[in-house]
Amino acid sequence: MVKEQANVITNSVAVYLRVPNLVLPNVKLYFSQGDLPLKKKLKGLFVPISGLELPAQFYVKGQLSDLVQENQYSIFLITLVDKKGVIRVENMPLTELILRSVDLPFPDGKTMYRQFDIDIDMYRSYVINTLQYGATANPNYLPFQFITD
Amino acid sequence: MVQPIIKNSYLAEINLVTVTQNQRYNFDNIPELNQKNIKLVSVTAYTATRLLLSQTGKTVIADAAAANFVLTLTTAESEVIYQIPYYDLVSANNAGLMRMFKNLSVNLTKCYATCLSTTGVVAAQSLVFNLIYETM
Repeated sequence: MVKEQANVITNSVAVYLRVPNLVLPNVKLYFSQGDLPLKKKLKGLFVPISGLELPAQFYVKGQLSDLVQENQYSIFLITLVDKKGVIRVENMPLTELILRSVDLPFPDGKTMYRQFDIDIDMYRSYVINTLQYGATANPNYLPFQFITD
Repeated sequence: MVQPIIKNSYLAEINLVTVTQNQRYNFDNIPELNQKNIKLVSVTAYTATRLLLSQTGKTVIADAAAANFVLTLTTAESEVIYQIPYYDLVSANNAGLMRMFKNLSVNLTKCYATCLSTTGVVAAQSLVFNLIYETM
């Protein structure tokens, strides 16, 4: 049954996924080692918007980097895998995880994050792009905010 | 505000091989969603602004074409959700909120979309749905 769960944040971790200038679509981009919520259960997930919720350009891992622009989010799909190796969320459009928007036709009503209940395996979860992504000269990153228990 | 706590989801696609008014387009068989213990919690639909290409590389229908389609969800016995507008399943049209259903045991291959008008719809485009479900 669907249960009501308050849209609160107990713990959260910012994760930046490196996006190279891909030649072919459907290449899996995996999360690299770093500050990942490895032992936690995924309770929520959202993608901040470049230039609105985060600066368009800032230092990630010591390098000046550009965030992927919101108008490019429509070519990315995320797949979440649990610790048993089961695909729990298959190809969810990244636009589904936006809280606020400058480009897409979101009314102002939705500022709740999407809620999950998944014992996530970060290393097996991945993002794919359905169209070649045109990266800028700096390293490009997709920003995620993983909300955990 | 109650919104689904997502435990499982699957991006399903109906490709419009040909576009004909009043034609029904059924879902393909998706083995993991055809188990008897699957309950459908929510359905979200997409247009090109929010998903440019489907997971198989097909162009998703244009925003303006969303009003041309309706979706019918069928259980083993009956069409419990009959011709709900595709437009109303696009969360961007609902203040970002997902349209929820009361734990439907749908028979996916009996579920179908209907094309009410062909205006602005191009053959080989796709209808794309994010099916959020729970295993009981």
